[in-house]
Amino acid sequence: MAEKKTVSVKVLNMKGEEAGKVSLAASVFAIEPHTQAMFNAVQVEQSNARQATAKTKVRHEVSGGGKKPWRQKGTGRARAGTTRSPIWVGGGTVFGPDGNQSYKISQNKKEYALAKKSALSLKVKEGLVVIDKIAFENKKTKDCINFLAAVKAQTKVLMVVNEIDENTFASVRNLSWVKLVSSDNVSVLDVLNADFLVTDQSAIKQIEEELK
Amino acid sequence: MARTKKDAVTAIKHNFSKPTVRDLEVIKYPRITEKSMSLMQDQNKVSIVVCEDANKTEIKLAFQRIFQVKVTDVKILNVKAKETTRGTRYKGTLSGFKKAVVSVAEGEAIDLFKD
Repeated sequence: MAEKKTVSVKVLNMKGEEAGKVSLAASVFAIEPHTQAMFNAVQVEQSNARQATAKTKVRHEVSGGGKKPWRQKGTGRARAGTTRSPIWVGGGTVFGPDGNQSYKISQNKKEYALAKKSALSLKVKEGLVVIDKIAFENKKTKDCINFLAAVKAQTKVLMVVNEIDENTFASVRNLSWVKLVSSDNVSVLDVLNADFLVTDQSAIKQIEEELK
Repeated sequence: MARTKKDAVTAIKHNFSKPTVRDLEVIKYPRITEKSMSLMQDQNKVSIVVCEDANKTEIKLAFQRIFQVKVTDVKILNVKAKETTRGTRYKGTLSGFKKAVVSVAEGEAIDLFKD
């Protein structure tokens, strides 16, 4: 893309008033979104977060079944050695999940970076809120609610700060619809899942630096 | 070169990444008692109250990321809840907590009373 090299985004202060503009690299924040890369990235993240908790019992793990149900010959019934055989009701499972399944998959780093840039570019079009500096003076949830109301981000929010300090952590902690991450921990899934990406200048510059 | 304890904090630059929300959940607050202060002065060990489902590895990593110092050892223990009475009428319990004693690497120190 040989268009302009930067995109400019308006900057608000914490009261929701306009406080200048910031120019961001177009190679990170204004690329053509690559849907497949984003889809793969989300799949990788969700799959890797999965724990193998499903577990079934095979024939030797089901309790009981030690005694031979009836003698081998002479009864007219099919021969049987245990009541826990897989073809019996109450018997073991043959090919069930064994608790050691691995759901780990991976994605090439360049493709993941592309996915991240795509997701950020989508957010620049709609839902990116850049603040001059996110800093809370007190540990008050009410302060955070007022701040997010002032910048008109009142549904699912991903808040990205340069470094999480105690006041920010405590102010956000009790809001279930706000997720707080530091700028080196931004994931594609988080960005796409949020309606609003609320961040400040230093954090967004750091994201830019990482993906350039 | 011998480092004194005072300039240690600025002298060593580690490459620990930034703290996450979980790190701040894990490490709650320092436990300041006579015993903890003497441990800190004599053996460079910091006593902290931690999240009850945290394990040693988590505590070590979280501590390193928050305070940017190297941790050499972590010991944890559960402090049991105690019964208490105030006068004769009020009976209740003091809640228990999980305590961790974190050994900070030699020559490094953290400032608990920074803010």
